[in-house]
Amino acid sequence: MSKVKLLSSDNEEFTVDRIVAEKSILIKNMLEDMGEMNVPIPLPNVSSNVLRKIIEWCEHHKNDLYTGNEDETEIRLKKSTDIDEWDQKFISVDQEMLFEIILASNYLDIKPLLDTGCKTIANMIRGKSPEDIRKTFNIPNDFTPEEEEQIRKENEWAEDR
Amino acid sequence: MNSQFKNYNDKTRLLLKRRNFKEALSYITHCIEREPNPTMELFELRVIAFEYLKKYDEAQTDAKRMIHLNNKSAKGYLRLGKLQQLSNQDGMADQTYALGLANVHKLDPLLPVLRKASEQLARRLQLSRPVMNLFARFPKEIIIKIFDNLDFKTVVRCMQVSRLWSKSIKKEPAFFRRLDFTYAKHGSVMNRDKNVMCIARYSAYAKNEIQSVIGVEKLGILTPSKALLRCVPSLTEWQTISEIKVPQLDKLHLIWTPFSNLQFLHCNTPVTFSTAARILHSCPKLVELTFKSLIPDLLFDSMEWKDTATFQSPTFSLKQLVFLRDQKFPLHETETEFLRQILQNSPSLETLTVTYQNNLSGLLQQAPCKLKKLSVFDDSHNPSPKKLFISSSVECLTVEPGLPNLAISSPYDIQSAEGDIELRELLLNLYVRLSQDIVTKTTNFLEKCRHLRSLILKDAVALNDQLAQIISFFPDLQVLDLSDNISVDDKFATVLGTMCPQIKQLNLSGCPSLTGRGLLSLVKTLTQLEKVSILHCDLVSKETISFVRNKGIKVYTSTYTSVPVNGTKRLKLI
Repeated sequence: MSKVKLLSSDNEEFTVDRIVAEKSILIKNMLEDMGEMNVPIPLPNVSSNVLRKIIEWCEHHKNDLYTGNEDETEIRLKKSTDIDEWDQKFISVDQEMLFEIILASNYLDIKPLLDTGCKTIANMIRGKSPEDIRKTFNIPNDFTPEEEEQIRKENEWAEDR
Repeated sequence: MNSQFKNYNDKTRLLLKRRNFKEALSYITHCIEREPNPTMELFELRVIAFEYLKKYDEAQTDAKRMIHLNNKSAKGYLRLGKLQQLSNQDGMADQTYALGLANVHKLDPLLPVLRKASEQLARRLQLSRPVMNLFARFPKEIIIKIFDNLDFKTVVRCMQVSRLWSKSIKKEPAFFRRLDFTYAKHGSVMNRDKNVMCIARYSAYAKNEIQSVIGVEKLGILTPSKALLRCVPSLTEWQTISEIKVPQLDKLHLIWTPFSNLQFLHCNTPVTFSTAARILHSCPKLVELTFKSLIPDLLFDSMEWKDTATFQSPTFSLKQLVFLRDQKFPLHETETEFLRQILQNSPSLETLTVTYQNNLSGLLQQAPCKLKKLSVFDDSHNPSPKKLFISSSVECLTVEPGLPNLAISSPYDIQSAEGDIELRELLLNLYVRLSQDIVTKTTNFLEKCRHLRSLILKDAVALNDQLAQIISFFPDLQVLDLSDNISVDDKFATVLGTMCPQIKQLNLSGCPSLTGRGLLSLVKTLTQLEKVSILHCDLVSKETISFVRNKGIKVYTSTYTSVPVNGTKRLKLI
């Protein structure tokens, strides 16, 4: 099986099976355009520790069939808590890494991984009060008390019970 | 012990005071070893000694012993937390304090100290953590993807997080295209005027391109407000969800002319017939239409809906229609004519849910559509048998009482075209004594439905003698529900196992004659079985249930009441 070399932003080289690398549509298109390449593909937006994580995911999912165009309504019906068990374990990382994985999977165009990351963030927000959301992401509250009260009042229907 | 402890305490403290830490440590260790039941206080002294000697690991072990000996006292948690911080384990210290705050007795004098320590650490932790601001870090398309997973209420609440969040959310029209008020705060109905303003704002954020409005009646708004009317051309879905009581009839004139692009309209709130006629007239693109509770009104009779252009040369694009009338009011001829007109002019109709009325069979026979799914809700008081005609295209048929726990007043005589019926799914909620004639007719009808995949027979007591015979008609059955039936016993279970080997899901809840032996024989023969419900089958032992579960089959029993299972609402013995 042919191999592909990938070069992270901090110049670490990774050698992976082509089928693994092609989980990334960006790389897949590149390979199709260029044919066989012996030089490593530079990925200037992805650092080595993130790339290592991404390759781990691609290895595990290399045999998945990607069903491209899912029905819009089907996506809506799917509960966002539905993350497969392996992925859930894989994505249990600190927030910095989670953010980096999402950004990298967006750049590399790995849709299923991007979906998993986005769902994970959504799960961190769902059902929480604004204060809890601030705590979760360590966001400072920069509203004045009056502003905060006004926004709360304007959207009163959205409060709990 | 007390006086002895005082000695230990005084002597150790004296040694510590003189900074003779090693001596203090060996003395207190000696004391602990001599004491058959060393107290928390003894360990605390040793923790202090270890701490002075910077032996943090040993000190932590003793602090954990302190917590173990008295988990209601703040002392252990304070010691352990401090030691963990000294060992650069802030995260663990945070957990220790949290555990302490949850366990410590509320009268403990050291509780405020513990609380303060916890707060200080939390503040320090927060300062050292980076701010993870989604909106600052991610491009717009990722933000939209994240929020796609969240309901509208959560999105609105996110506006209260920070200025950046608020600004970014308001700037994105996509977040405000689908206004879903399903989870509105209880009592929002009272703030109608404020809520209208609120929707006006959302409408502006959406750049007047709102597509769906769901559950707006929860905000006290029954008629589309001016704010909403601005988005009329873009609106494709309108759904009311509550089954609210009728406030005033005139309030029910829910929707009129302007919603020309509406495709999905689900009125679970009551609607008058004249409003219904106007809706059909003004929304030609409707694909799904629900009237959960239609109410006759005086206007309707005098209304000239038949003469309007829509009904002159009409073709509706309806695929799904729910047309349930409130049976409290007597049926009027014009209503039947109205339904006939709709059915006549909806060639693409596939799913129909309708209240039973006498000429329903005739209406269905005349309709040009190829119905796939027909559901009949029956709350009429008519005692004579009801005829129902099924065309060959129908794959799924449901007959149920109009109100839960209400009996159907008389049996159904289901007719069909000659030959086999292509029905795949059938739900009959009988709940009546059937005459011998109807039993024969029902059995004959069932015999023609050889291709059934799913059969739900509720309260089928009248068919008891025929049950074994009926089951033999359906070799391909995958889903079977015979709940609340006393004649389902072990002998029947054996027959069922051999007749319908393909069954995947089985509901035998409320079948009190079934025992473990019957269940085991079923599990043995039904190799495809995935789920079985046996709520209120008290003769099946726990051992049998766990045996079946070990085979990888999901078993729902009475202890698992949270699992929704059809049937077993009542147990009827005749």
